Amino acid sequence: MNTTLRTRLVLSISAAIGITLAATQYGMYVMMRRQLYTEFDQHLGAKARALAVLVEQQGDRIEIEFQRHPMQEYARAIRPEYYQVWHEDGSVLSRSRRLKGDLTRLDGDRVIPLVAEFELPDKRPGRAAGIRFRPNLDGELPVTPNTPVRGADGRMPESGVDDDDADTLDLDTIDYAARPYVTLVIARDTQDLDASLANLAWLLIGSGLFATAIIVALLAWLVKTNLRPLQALTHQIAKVNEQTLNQRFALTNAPGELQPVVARLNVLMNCLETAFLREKTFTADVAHELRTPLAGIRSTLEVGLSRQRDSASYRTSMERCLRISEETETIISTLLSLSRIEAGQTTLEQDVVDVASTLRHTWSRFEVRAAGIGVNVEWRCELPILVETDPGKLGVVLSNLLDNATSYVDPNGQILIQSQFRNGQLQITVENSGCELSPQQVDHVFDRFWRADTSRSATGSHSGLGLALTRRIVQFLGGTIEAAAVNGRFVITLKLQATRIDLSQEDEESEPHTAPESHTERGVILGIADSDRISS
Amino acid sequence: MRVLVVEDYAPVREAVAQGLREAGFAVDSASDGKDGLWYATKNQYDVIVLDVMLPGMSGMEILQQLRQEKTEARVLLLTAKDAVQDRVAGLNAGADDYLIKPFALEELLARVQVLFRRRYDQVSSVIEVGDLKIDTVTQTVRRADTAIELTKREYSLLIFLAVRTGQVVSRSDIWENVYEFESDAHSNVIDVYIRYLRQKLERPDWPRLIHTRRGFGYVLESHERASE
Repeated sequence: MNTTLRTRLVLSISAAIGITLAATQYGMYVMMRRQLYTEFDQHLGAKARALAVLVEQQGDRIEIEFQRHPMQEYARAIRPEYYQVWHEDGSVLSRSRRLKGDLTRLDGDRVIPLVAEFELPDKRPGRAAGIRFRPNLDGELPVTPNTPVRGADGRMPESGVDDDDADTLDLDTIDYAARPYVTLVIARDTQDLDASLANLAWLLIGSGLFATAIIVALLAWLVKTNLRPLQALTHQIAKVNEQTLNQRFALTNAPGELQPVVARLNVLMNCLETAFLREKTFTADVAHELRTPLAGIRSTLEVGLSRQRDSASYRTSMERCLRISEETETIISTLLSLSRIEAGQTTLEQDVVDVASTLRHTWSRFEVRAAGIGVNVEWRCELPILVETDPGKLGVVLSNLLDNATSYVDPNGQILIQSQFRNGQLQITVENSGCELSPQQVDHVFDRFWRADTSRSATGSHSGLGLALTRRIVQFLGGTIEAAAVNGRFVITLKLQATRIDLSQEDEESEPHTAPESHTERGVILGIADSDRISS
Repeated sequence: MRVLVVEDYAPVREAVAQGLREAGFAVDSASDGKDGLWYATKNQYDVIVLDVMLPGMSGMEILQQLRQEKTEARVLLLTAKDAVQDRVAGLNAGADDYLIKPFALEELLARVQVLFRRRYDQVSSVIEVGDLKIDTVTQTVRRADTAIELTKREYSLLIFLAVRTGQVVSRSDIWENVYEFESDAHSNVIDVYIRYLRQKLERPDWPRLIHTRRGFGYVLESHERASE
């Protein structure tokens, strides 16, 4: 559903408040209704007791005084009330003039009359209260208990006195047994009560609806006001494009929940800006890298062709151009590998690789160059390490690391080549002495086209792409590569998650924890390669 | 006509130096920033061809240093960066002109020529002293409509004198400005070249052009001086 947060908030909060309100009001209605009925019943009970006083025993006869002079409410034609009096033996002693048919006989006691819902003979809804009692003797002081009646729910009031003989306490002379019981039931409609209750119900419904409407309106306004920072943020985000990546988001009075969002967004913007800048710089760098050799070729050819020369100088020019184009080719193919791997167009080929012999084999290409400047090479390679990885890509990585070390080692310096397998990781370290990089510079060695100098290195063959490509390949192989400058030594550490193929079926975890210092353990060789210490 | 080429990329440096040399300039070259600055401050160059990205010290830093020291040399920046802000930054730093790599050698030579003329406040590419006409583009010299063949050295010496018409220049001025830094010229070599030049430029029926000021040096002028 494509609803806004605003709508959702307003609807859900309104629904919650509406439901709570309706439940509260319904509860109120129920309580009011019970209260009103209790009062009605008490009133009815009191009236029944009052009438009971008027039923007297005169000798054998039971005199019902209000029969001859009926009270107005029993006599009237409109909404009359009814009474009926039964004798103990079931005969009807009297009934109100308007009553056609019978009321329900309710044998409540005098203290607590029995009250029940009752449909009056003329179909009006009503309630009836009944008392079963012995009529008073003529002249006898009536007992007027001022006690509550049994409620509509039939619950006994706490203070109720449950004593049949309470009315005859001081009249021991009276022969109670001789008197018959009489049951008096009066009935009255509940129209007024029901009308009041209906009014109350409508009042509650009306006020509930009104309150709900106000709440919805208020909520809509409040939610809108409080969501204003969100809207402002949306507005700011909408304005971001490639040209405005330097802008940052700022919210005044930002609520607590939005502050981390804004902060994260700004971090994201930083990353974006850096990435865009890097791309821009990269393009400029590519242009520079390709323009410089082109300028070399062009100038060389133009000078060569500017006048008639002997064949030796033409040859020199041509050889120079050939060398430049070879260098350019290397740059282009490295760039291509880099962009292929970044575009995910490279496939991983798994094969078993013998790490130490691959290192040896790769080193053979740099051996002569290193020997030429009197470099001392130290090998610390655990033997044998057979891992499953991409041999071609690992070869490129190792070649770049060794090339880098050979190119930047100081004359008569040292190169250290280490390989080991630890905790499921292949670890290769290449170190060279003669490093003049600061820690800040070391952070950039994997950047594309980065060189310690702002221009091309003196050798001309280092485009500043080798380590960038190396890192991408290592990441592709699922490993990490780190560079550090420690005491004038440039150290590159390569870690690769790899499956070790153990030919002797031994668990490599149980292998002795060979510390780098303890080279005397099995599988570790420490030595000076043949090409070392060649004085030049 | 002394030019310094500061460029770290050997193919470009060597080709430009050779091209300039073959165009009659005395050329020194440096392959990094520090060397470049050293050359530029130790010698008087008419034009410096300066690469922007240099090891050791960037071309821009060299340029700023030179301008602080009020060097009169005209500076032509060579850059592989073609963004407008790069070019503007170069010109703001005091460069007289710039060229974007790769460039046509011919254009570089023409621009160096222009800068050279501007160095001596010459608008035209033809320098005239009396009836002597030097076309700096075609590098031809004529006097009274007679073409005069000069060697490269003689031509450079003539240009050096011609752009300072009326000024007395000492032998050591000539030595420092006409000859490349590494070459071992001696002041009597200069006298020899002056004599060759006179032999080619002057005839008995023409007025003298190169006058000797004893104890000072030489001056190129179209009219006779009483003191001669």
